[in-house]
Amino acid sequence: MAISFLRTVILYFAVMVVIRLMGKRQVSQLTPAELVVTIMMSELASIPMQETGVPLFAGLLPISTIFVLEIAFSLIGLKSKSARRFLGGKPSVLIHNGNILLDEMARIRFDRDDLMEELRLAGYANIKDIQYAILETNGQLSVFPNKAEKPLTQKDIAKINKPER
Amino acid sequence: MKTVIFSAILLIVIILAVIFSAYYTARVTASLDEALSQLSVALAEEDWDGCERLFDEFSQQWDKTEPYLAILFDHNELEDTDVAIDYLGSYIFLREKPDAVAQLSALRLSVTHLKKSSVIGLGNLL
Repeated sequence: MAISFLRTVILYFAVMVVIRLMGKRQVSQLTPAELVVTIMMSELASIPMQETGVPLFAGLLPISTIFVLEIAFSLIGLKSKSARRFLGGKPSVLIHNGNILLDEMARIRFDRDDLMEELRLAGYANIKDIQYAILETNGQLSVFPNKAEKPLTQKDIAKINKPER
Repeated sequence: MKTVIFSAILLIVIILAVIFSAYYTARVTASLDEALSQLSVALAEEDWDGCERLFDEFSQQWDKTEPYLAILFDHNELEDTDVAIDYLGSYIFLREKPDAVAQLSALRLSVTHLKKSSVIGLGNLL
């Protein structure tokens, strides 16, 4: 029991340090590669926690290796655009000027219902109101409405109040 | 930048740990296998006093190295080896040659398996 307790404490701190050093992103903002790393890390930590027969080293070594690889690939991604595209993917334009780009939707296997759900969550019920909808690499949908649907800004109010000559 | 330096140091530590563990395992298992080889010769000649002396030496060597091997290898596998050593000790004490020979063979297999499982090769990778 004491061994399990101590192993859990050690692995908890090891994973916390690694996650902390890897960056400040929240789970919802993880790219696919980062999500895979996080899942693998949690699995690697939980096995030596539960199984006292497995050496602690067998958990710590892969966690450290994943951490080093993650830092190495993020550095490569900083230097190279193509590497960044390969590791994190690239954003996909799903709606352009009120038209759904079906080929792109099929390519990324994103169905119409999911798209409509994301649009409703963003506050838009009609596709025609949207100039651009872009599926980001972290899975979030960025929605840019048509000019007519954009909320009024201070700049617009200033234009209205400005007397015409 | 601190993270990059830390990860670079960590990478060096990992590489050194991997090299050292492979070297240590190879050295220790070779030494243990050599001790068991001598024991096997003594057993073949039915030199029971020699067998007891060699077995004690092997047991002491194993007791010294086991805590370090536990850092690298599955503890259950090491416990199985402990059991095999105990069986061998009893068979030698009882002068049971056939059982002792069989147990010694199993023990040598356990020791060589430790070495084999740490070798970098397709067999272990796949």
